[in-house]
Amino acid sequence: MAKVLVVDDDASLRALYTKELTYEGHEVAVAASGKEALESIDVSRPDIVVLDIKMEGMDGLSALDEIMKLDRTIPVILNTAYSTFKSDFTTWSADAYVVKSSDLKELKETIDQILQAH
Amino acid sequence: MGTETDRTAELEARSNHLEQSNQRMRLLLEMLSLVQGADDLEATLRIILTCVTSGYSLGFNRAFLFLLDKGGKTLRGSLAVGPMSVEEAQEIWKNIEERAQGLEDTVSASSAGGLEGDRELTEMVRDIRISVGDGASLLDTCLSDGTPIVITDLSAVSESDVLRRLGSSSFVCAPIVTGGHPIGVVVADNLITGRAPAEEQVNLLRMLGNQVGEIVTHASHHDDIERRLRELSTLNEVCKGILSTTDLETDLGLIVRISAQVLNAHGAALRLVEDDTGALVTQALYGETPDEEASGEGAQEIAERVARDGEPLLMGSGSSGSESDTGDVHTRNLICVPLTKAERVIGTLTVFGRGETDSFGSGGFGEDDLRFLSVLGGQAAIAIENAKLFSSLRKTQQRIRELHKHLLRSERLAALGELSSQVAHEIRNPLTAIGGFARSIERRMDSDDPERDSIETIIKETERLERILTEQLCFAKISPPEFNSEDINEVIRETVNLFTERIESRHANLEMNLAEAMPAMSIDAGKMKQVLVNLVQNAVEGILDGGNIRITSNRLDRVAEIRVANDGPPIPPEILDRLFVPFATTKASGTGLGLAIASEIIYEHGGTIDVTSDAESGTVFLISLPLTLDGDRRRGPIDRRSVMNDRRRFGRVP
Repeated sequence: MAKVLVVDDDASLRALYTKELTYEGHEVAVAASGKEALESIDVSRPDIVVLDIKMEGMDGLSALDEIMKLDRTIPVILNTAYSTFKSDFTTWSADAYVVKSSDLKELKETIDQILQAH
Repeated sequence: MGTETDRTAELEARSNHLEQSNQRMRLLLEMLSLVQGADDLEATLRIILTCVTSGYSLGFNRAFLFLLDKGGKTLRGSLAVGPMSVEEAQEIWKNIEERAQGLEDTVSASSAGGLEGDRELTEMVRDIRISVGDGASLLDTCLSDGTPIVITDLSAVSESDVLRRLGSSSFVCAPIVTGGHPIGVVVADNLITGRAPAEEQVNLLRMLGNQVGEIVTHASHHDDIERRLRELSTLNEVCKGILSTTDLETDLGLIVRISAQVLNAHGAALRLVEDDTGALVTQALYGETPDEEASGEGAQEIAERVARDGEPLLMGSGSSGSESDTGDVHTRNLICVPLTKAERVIGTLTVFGRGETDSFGSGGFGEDDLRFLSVLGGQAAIAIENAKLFSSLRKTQQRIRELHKHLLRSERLAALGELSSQVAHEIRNPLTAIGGFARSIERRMDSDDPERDSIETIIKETERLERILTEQLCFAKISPPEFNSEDINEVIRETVNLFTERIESRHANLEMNLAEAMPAMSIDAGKMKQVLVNLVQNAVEGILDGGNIRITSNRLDRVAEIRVANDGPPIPPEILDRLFVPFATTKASGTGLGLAIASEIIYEHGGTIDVTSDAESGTVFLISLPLTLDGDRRRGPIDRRSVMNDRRRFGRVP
């Protein structure tokens, strides 16, 4: 049972992640942009953040930077349609990288492992 | 009265004698005028000797001619005229006397007939060589004294004198002189009739020797010039020939063949200095006799000496004392010249064993031949260098073409990647939502729910779409390979294991033949597996039910070869050409990227991938991978970041 913040500009995905992660027993909060995410973190301090990289306005990587400035201890999982960002060094500060898939098994397992490690 | 009768008889005899002499003088003049019209040295000499043996003229049985060589050190037997036996003599003389009306007829009859005796005698006399200045032979004495020698008793001839080989006990030697210098000796005898040479005959022979000297010298010069001209024109042809081909192998073959043919030799060998080792290696041979046998000293050693000194070498009779007089001069003669380009020796050209010569008198190579071969060698060197340059140019061009082809493909892939990353985002998000919710619904469904099939279909199809997207994105940015020391055979085995079930379900027959002594290779095992999975999958899909699949690995000198073959229906040529081009798929279910990615991966490994397909041998994919990983082999830049990816996956990077 943890507080998970899902940041994605796609409403359907926010709905899916909320439903699935709630089903796993997590308390899920959502944000539709980097700006919203920072506000949410500031207010509710989640245990972990699932962050989409490519979003309108402030993109995920800038958001990641801001989150790190705000609180370096919050683990961040980058979640995106691109596997290409895997080799982009700006993603190094993230704790994990999971490519989007309709099968959420990998994402769920990654969340569990990171939470256990903390 | 008796005295008167005697005087009359004496006068008559004198008159007869004068008439005979007169006739002989006329014949001598006739001979001289005939000789003027002869077109080469041999014809000239034949006319002279025919005159010596003609009953109309000097009337000897046999005549032999020896000429001084150019150096003036050796008398060589050149030509002989005469029968071998009494029977032949009678036959010939009868025929000639019946038909011939004069010297001209006799000459044309004897040269046109190509008499058996003449040929045999000539062969015998050409084997005779007499060194000048040591007085060992009467011929030598005759030459140096400049006066005729008449022998009527064989005891006056030394036991060792080669003249004894002529077989007659009485004969005349007369020098052939021009401008006060002797240039040869003519020997005449009466072996058949057994008559001692008459004084008259001796005098005439001396006159003849004095008269024909200049003619012989002219004819000999004429022959030289003719030969030189012939050689020049041959050389011209040869040079045109070898300079017009640009293929090295053809060139070398042409050079040795022509060298041997022009010099009338048994064979020729061409050696080249290897660029990397500096070793002199035989590259082309012509002729029946291997040149190793051509000389007492190993031909290879001779060639190496010539290459080292950069000086041509003539070995054979009449040259320096590097050989003895035993053995067959035909096989012992050898010329070796260096092939020099820009003062650098690039190889050697050896010509060995002169065959039966049609040129006059000489059985071995001479200075002229050496000069000729040297000039040819110079041209050959240019031709060889040209061919080498062309060959490297061709290789470079081919490399550029390959690079160009690769570049085109890469550009296409890059453009594709650009498109992919834009579209992927737009597609993957909704796809994730569709599939994700479908799974969510499926999880809550009863196992006997009538809609369960439908939801499972949605999940399955979503997965397929996602897989295609992943493959495309894989392409959009292919991560750099991670080389590790791996056993390629193990990668092959692992790959094949993945297909066990599918191979069984198709009743296929799998044959694996992996090289035992395959060294560890520097490869990206994961990527190599991706390539092999693709090829094996193609093979499994390519065969008919119950078909054959063969997978082999081979170790060659510098590369490892992996073949994945199947005996399914052949791939049509127009498709075969575009097999490695992105999206050129023929399969309904494929993305058209598998082989394009495979080819990209093999390229990164510094290897090549090729395919052949026909009805006889089926479809064969051939991968060649270099066995050593040189610096320039890694075409893709190594990205250290990719090494860190996995460590970063769980847990914070410090």
